[in-house]
Amino acid sequence: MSVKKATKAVLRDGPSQEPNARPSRILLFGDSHSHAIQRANEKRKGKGLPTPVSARRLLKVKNGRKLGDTSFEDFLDAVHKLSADDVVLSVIGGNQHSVFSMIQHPQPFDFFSPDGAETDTALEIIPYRALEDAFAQGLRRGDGQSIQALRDATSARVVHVIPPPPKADNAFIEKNHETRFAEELPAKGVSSPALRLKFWQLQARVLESICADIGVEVMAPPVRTVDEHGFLRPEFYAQDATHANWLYGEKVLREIERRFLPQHAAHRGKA
Amino acid sequence: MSEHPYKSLPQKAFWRRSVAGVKPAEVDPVGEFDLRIDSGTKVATAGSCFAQHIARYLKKSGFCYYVAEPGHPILPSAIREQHNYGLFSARYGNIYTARQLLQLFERAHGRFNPSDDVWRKAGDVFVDPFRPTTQPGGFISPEELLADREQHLAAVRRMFETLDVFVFTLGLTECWRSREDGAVFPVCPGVEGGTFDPERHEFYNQPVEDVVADLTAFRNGLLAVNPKAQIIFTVSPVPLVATAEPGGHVLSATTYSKSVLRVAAEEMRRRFDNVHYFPSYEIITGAFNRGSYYAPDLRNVVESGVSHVMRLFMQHATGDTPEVLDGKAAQQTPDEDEHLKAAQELIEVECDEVALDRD
Repeated sequence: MSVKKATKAVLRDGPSQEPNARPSRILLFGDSHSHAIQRANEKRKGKGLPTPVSARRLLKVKNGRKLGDTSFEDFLDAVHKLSADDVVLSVIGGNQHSVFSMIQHPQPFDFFSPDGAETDTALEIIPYRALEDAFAQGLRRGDGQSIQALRDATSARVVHVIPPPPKADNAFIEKNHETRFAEELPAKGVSSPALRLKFWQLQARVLESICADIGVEVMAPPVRTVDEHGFLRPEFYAQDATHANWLYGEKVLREIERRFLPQHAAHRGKA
Repeated sequence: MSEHPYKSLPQKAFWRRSVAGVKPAEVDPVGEFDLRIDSGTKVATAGSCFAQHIARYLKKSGFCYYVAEPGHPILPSAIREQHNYGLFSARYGNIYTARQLLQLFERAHGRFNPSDDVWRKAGDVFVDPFRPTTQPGGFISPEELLADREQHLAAVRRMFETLDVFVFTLGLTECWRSREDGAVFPVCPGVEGGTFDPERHEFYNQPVEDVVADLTAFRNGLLAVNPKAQIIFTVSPVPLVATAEPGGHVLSATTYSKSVLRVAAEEMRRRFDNVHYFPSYEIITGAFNRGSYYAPDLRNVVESGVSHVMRLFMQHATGDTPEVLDGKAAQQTPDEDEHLKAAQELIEVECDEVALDRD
C-alpha cells in the first residue's frame, strides 16, 4: 500500500473516540524532525492559541551539549498511561534517506524505482531490491524497533509521521548547511534532486511496510507542503539541508487536528 | 629380474601406496598440475554450486580472489552477499554446462543475443533467464533487468580480459535449450521463472564431443581477449538432483554426466598448455573416504571434504602449507562504505544542530 493509500485509510477510519468522549490526548516524540513541530507549538502559545499536541524531542547529550527534553524510556512511561482514544505520534528517525543521497558518492549511481521515475543508465545501477533490503534491514534494526517499542507500550493509536520530503533546490542546500557539512559539500557536491526524492520515497515505502507489520498507521507529509513533483515547497525549508521549518510544523499540527481532533479543527475554522 | 615401465613410477601411480594404504585425509590424487599462483595472481571463479566453495576458500585465503562485479560500496557487505555479489567473480550465478559458459562469453562480447530476454515471475518480479536466482526478489521492471544485465556483461568482459587464472567447475551435461536460437538455460524454464513450452524448449544432454567443442571455443575466445589467461577445470562431485534423460535413472545419469565432463576436462588438459585439471571430483567421490565427504542427503559435500580439496589446491598451486587457510591473509571486504560513514556523521551533526533553526 502506498503512503497516500495508507493516509487515506487513516482518514477513512477516522478517530476512534465516541462523539461525546473527552478530546484525545496526543503525544508526539521524535528526533530532529520534531523540532519544527515544537517550534510551531511555541508560536501558537505565543499567540495564545491552543496546542493540541504535547511534542517531545529525544534527550541526548553530545559534546557536552544537551539536546532534546525527554528520554525514550520516560516517553514510554508516559504513553503507557494513555487509553485507546489517545494518539501517539512518532517522528522518530527520518534522515536515513539523506545519508544515502545528500552528498554525491564518489562512485556515482542511480536506481530504478517502482513508480517509473527517470533513471540515468549512464551511471552504475544498483538493483532496487538490494537498496530496499538495505533500508529494510537498517530500519528494522533501528527506528523500527523504537516504533515497535511505542506500539508495545501503549493501547493508544500509534501513528508514524513520515519525514518531510527532500528539497529540490541544490543551490539552497549548498548555501545553507551546518559546520562540517559545509566543509564536505563544496568538495563533493550535492546529489541530484531526483536521486534524493527517490531515496525519500524508498524510505517511505519501507517504513510503511514496517509499520503495517506492527500495527502502526502512517501519516504522509501534509499535501500542501509538497510540490507537484513531490519535493518540499521552498516556503517550508528550514535553513539547512534536510529539515523543514516551523511553518511545516504548523501544517503538521493542523493535519493532526483534522484527523484526530475534528471538534478542535472545526473550532479553529470558526475562529 | 626384468625391468618394466612400472618399476620407475612414483608412489602416486600405485593404488595401494597412494590410496588404500594411506590415511584418508592424506590421499592426494593430484596428477600433473604445474600451474603456480601467488598472492598477486588474479583468480576468477565460475561454475556449478561446488564452485561456490572454491570461491569461498579463495576469499579467506591469501589468494587474490578476483571479483569484477562487487556491487556498489554504498550497499552494506551483508546485503551485497545476500544479493549474490562476490559469490562468483561476477554475478552470473551457477554456470552448470560448457555450453552455458560459452554462451555467457559470447553474450558478453555481443556475439549472441538470445530471444528469451526477460521472464515475468509475478506482477513486479522479473527474472533473467540466464541467471534466474541471482537477484533475490527479482528485478522490479524489464528496464531494470536489462540495465543490470548490461553492466553485468560489461563486468564479465572486464573479468575475462584481466584475470590471470580462471577456475571453472563443470557441473552438468543436461540442460534445457531454446529450439529457436539454441540458448541454454541454467534452470529449466518454468522452475524459477518463465513458462515451459515443449514447442519452444527442448532437453539437451551434451555428448562429450559437444563439451570438448564448447570448452575449446571458450578457451580460444578467452585467449583472444587475454593471451596470458590460464584455465583450471574441475568437475563438481555433486550428483544431479534429477535427470530428464528419457527412461534414465538419476544415479546412472550422474555417472554419465560426470564421466563426460571428466573426459572433456582431460582432453582439454592434454590439448592445451594453458589448461589444467584439478581433481576435486576424485577427492570427494574416491572410495578411500568411504562416502564420508557427503552429507546425509548423499549430494551435498561436507566441510571436511571441501577443506581436503582446498588444502591440496593450495599446496599444489602455491607450494604453501595448509596454514595459509587459517585466514590470516583473508581478503577483507569493508563492511561500511567510507562515504556512507562520513555522510552519516554529517547528517547526524545537522540533525543535532537543527535546534539552531532560524526563522
